[in-house]
Amino acid sequence: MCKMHTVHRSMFKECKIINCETYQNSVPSNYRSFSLRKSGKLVPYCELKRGVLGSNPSGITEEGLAAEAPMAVIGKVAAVAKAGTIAKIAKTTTVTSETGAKLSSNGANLSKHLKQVEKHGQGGFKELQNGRIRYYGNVKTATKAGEMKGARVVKEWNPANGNTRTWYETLDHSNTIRQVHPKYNNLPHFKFDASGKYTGKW
Amino acid sequence: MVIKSSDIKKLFFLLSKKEISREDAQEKAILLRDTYDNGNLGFYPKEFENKIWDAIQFIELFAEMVEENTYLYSENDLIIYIKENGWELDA
Repeated sequence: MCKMHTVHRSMFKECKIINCETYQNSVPSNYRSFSLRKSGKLVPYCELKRGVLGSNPSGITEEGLAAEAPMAVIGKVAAVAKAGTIAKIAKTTTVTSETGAKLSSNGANLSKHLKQVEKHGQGGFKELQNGRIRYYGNVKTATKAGEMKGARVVKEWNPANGNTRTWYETLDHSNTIRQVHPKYNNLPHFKFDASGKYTGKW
Repeated sequence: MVIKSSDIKKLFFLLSKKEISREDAQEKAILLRDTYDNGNLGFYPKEFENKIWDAIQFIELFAEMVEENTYLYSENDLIIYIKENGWELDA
């Protein structure tokens, strides 16, 4: 059992988000979740409990906490796969030993991920096989009717080294990506046909 | 760095008067986004954080073309966005 697990268990009795593989495997995934506070911030249950316990140490119940988080983000952020993603983010820096520095790094990565979900991932996020995570902005619909539906901003983050890259995607009405435009250095627009085949740049 | 709502208002004003190009405004928006990503961007007033962030995203995409010679947003979309979100410059 990892150090963080022990700490969380002792502080909160039942921590629902934890950077411990053993614990991850022993807890049903739908229990690993976040709450969206009225401020718009995503808070892991353990953080939620810590905050509430700190300000009002008496009479706190889990039911009360749940009632405090009316917007169950849970659908958006804490679905099974996404909870798994968060666990993997933590694992990218946790290899064999659970040193304090690594735990700190895990916490920083998790915090960064949540921040990015909030600001860049309004349209969702996806973990790639190589561990990178893509955050999708909402598709902004073009007002001029045409072949293309609209565009969105996509940001990719590599938790292993912190590198990021961002580009704009244009989608057609069947939500197929038809154009990709990296946002830096005046790079061109790369075009694709409806079947996804690269057709050139402009 | 702190981005104030008054800075955004001014940027929208310049855009609507075409005193700044879409692309130059986009550069500013990208800079703000990158600054935020590096953890160095604050919002003033703080309670306008989401509104300011939404405006930054709008300005960023305002210069994006969905096809050659076709912007995602029209000039009229800009005016509508400014009005609907209360970004008119105070008299």
